[in-house]
Amino acid sequence: MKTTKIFVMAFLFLVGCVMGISTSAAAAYPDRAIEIIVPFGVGGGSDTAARAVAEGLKPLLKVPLVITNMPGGGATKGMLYVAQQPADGYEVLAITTSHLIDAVKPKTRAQLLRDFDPIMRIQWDTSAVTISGDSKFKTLADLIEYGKKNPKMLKFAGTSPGGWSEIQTVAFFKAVGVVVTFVPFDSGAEIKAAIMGGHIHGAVEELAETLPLIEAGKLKSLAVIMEKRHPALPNVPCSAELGINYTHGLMRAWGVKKGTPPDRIKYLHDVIKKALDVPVYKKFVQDNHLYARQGYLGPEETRKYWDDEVKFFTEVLKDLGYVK
Amino acid sequence: MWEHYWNAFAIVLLPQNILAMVLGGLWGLLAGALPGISTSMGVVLLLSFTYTMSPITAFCMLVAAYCGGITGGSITSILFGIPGEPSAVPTVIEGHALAKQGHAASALWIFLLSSIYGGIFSVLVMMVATPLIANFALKFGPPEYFALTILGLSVVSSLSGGSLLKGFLSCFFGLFLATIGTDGITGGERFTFDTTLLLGGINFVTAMVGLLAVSEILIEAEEPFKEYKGHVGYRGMRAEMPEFSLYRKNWFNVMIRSPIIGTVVGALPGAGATIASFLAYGEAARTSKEPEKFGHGAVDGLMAAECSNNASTGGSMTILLSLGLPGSNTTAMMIAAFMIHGMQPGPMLLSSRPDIIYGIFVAMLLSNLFLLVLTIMAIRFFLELNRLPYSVFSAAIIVLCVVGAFGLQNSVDDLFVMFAFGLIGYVMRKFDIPVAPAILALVLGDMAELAMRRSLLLSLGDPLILVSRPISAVLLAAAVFSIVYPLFKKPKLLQGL
Repeated sequence: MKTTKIFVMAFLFLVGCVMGISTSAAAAYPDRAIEIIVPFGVGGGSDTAARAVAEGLKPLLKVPLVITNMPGGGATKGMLYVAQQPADGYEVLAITTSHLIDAVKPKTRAQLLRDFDPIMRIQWDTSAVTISGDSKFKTLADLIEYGKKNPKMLKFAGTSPGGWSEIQTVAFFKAVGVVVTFVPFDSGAEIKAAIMGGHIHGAVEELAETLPLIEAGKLKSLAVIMEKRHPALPNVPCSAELGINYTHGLMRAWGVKKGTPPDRIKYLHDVIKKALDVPVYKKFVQDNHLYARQGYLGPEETRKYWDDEVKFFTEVLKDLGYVK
Repeated sequence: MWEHYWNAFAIVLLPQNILAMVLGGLWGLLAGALPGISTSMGVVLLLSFTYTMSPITAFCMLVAAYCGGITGGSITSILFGIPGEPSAVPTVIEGHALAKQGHAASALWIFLLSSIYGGIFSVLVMMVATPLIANFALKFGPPEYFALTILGLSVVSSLSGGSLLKGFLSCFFGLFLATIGTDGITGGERFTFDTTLLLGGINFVTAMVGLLAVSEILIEAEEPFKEYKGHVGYRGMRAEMPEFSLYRKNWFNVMIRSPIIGTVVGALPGAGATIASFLAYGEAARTSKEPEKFGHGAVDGLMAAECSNNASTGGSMTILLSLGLPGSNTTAMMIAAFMIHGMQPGPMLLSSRPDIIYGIFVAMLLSNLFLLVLTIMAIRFFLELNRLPYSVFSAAIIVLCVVGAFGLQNSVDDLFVMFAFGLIGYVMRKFDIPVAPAILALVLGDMAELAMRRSLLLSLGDPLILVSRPISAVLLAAAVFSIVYPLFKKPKLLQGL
């Protein structure tokens, strides 16, 4: 009997200790692993970007950092998952422009603007108007002139119908007064092969992927879509200098579920900002030509940027007939 | 050019590079053989180990892992009947049938020799004709892709076994399945019932594992009620060594036709290994002297599919190295590897870093040879599994299927899909409806539809674009021929009904 009593007391004592530890530690966020949900598959653009940031972030955090890929539902499945977790700052969603487009007409019960708080915008990519190297069009003006004379005869390729790729193609050409035919393909590789093979006129695509082929003369870029010229292509004019009021680009940001305590968001913001300065991440920025314009935006600016982009996407999608 | 090759051989044969190839090859074999780890995932995992290596050592390892993964996948296909990639479907159908008859070792020999030959053939072609193949591949626009997929679908007539009608029934079921999910041209949702489960369409690997592996176990599970079946048993590798005459009989199929199909089709981004292996398999079925054996362990079918499947690695690398375009998931990972080592894959690489490009050619050639030895050693262990009683063995296979389907996207949804297709496959088998055409149609249906609609967008709605271009016209004519020909050969269309 006596031994049992001692045993029970010892057990209670231990339980008390453990609970004491856990309650005292809960005050100091973070006390367990932080999970980054990447709503795309392994090896894609979003995945490699998230992993590059995480590489710099790991040494700065005292807790483990786990990257979980949750592809499916056009990037909405991972978003829905994070929206259903507690708002405690342990689940971080890797957000891309496709979530902003989804916010116009949500596919799931989660909506980015309503259910998430931004930590920061991390990257802001640059797109370019790219055509075949031996194309008869020498400048963007040639292309626009042809397009205005022959509505719908310019055929431009992209990847996601109703998504970023179609929006940026159609919206850019709308800004210069041309109606193009958008032809969706499955991957960037197929698009580039189709342009080089002369099956399609060109594409409005992120610049970094096409640079090697541009340098080899197989493709050529008529304009980069940005406020200033891109350092990697100093001879190619930018859209702003051609008088085109269109500078949108693909963005990547990280965010948490709405209602996460502000001090935890601030903690994440500060530590991630530091991680953007480590050499591993800087090399990633260099390799992917993301240095042309500043990617980083603080939480408040990111929210404003999101709101503006969603307004813009709503208009474009209305034009295209995807939403009424 | 030749001094580049001599230099490349000298570098690749350094001890550390040989070690890298052996380790990479073993890792690839393991990753390919384990359901749940795909070849591309195997390469990704390996990538982080190569950061600190010299570029050429890193590529020796990665290239060996790539080739190993494709080889390893076939081991699982033959022994367990679980296809890891859609291109392995013919291997499952013929190879696993042979294994169930107790000729696992024989099937493995045939697969191994044909696939290594296919791999080496394509590397040799790649060494001399990279620019030629790359330029030819660029001639394939949407109309040509459409014609190619239709030619792929025409293989149905050879896959149908007894009854063409049942074959087409299965094929149309697959085509219907291919329409489920987000429409690739307008982005609209089709048959998704407002769930995210079906938004991405039916993943063909999950469907395939269900239709082929799970359904087979369900069928076998009926057996214990009748009589106890012991283990399949096997004869050792030495006893099952194939005779030379087997290869002499099939020299044209294996030596020439299948690897050429594999190399050329493998170079097309977005078509790749799947169409390659099905086309070669279909050609073998059409010209076979024993067409009735197809579906029940046809040796020539297995040879053709494996040879062409592995030959597609060379084609895929061709387009990657000459233009920087990844033809498959795994070669997309290679792009990451180039960037880690400070290179941009693309047309410039051949002139700026010939040492790397020629090094990769040589590494692919040698790793295929190393793999031959490695696989023969590894196969012994896998073969031992065939000693297990079938009741235990099949339980293990179900576990592997579940792990494999879950591992694709870390999603339980895929498991529902897999088991649903297990039941569908069970019913189909009960009615003697072949499952292979459904899988083929599911994989190719999506490609065919998109290619056709892309073509029509390009021609602003004029359907003549599909037949007015020379390559597509020839391919479509071949497709029509291959559907109509069996009708004349076997006039009893309703045979088997």
